[in-house]
Amino acid sequence: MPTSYLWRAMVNDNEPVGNSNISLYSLYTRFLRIGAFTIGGGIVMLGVIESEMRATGLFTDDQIADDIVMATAIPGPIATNLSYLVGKRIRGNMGAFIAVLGTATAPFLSILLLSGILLQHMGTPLLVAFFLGAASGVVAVIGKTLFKMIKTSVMTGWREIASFIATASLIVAFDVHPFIGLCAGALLMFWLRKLEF
Amino acid sequence: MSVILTLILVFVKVALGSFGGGLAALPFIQYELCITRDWLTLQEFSEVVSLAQMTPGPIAFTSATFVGYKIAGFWGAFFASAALVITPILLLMFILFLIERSSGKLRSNVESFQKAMRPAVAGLVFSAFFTLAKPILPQPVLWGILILCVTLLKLEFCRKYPQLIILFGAFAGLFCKSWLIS
Repeated sequence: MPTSYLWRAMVNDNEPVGNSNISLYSLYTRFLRIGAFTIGGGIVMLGVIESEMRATGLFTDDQIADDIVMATAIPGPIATNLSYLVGKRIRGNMGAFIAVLGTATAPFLSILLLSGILLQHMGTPLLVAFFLGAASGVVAVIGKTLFKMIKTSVMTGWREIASFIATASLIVAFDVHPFIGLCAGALLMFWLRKLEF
Repeated sequence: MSVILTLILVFVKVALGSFGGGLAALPFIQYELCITRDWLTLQEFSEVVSLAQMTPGPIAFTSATFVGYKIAGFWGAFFASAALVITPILLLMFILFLIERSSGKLRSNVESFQKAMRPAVAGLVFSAFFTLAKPILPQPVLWGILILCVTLLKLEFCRKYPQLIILFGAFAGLFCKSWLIS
């Protein structure tokens, strides 16, 4: 079984991987652009990064699929995980670092700017009203995402439903630490799967 | 200084727990910052999330930046964000290393592992949803705005740019300011 590009890169760190014609600077600006203009969360950025990957024509579909699986399976913000993997393919370890930096720069700076202004006016009725309204929007948006999640990942079987209820109720009703809730639900899922056999 | 160290520790924990994307990080942020330590009130947490949704960037990341800034200024923002980003990458490097050592078969296991986690991750998102919905419940005006937003989300355009909905909700909130119960 051919070991893929990325795995070899992990082992041979000094070997230049990928198309060295893409300069570090343009790598940075590419990810800077993605980070700055993709609003809507990590999943959206995943789609954008994926199409950028295909656009370069440097990677096989397998490699792209590998990266997406890894970026989503590992905990943490999907966007930065994926940026690391893609950057590594393009310019090795340095590329990985530059790509992550690029993705993170714009959001980081914009939040800093906003935070300063925001924290000064915290608690004023205007801001409170603004944020309460925003919160309604957030609830609507997250509610929709949640609904879709439940439809595709939970309502598919009794094991899934049990796992979902376990995690949700532990965290919400019993004030358990979310990590414990997550593990409980996951372990339940694995255990119930075994019961099949 | 110890505040910064605690921030780093907190966001390392948040990073390790957030399986399945940014939304999954929210219950961790809330637990560590609102329940374990009184660093954020529930309302402030809701504000962090709203702000994170309106700005570019992954929601977990922008939440970390904002929280870090609030608690400890620029360096708080820097180290919180750094911890959130670097921790998963270290984990990623380690897992990749293991996969290389064990001949690729582990890769398909990673995928089925991820799929099996999904219902539990949905449980996490549910808890975030529940927490965020709580401040909305006692306010009838907000119910109205919420229903309006839900209706608007049926539009293809709004589904593509959900942050517009949040912005809309924010301005609707401003508009209805006088009907809000304090």
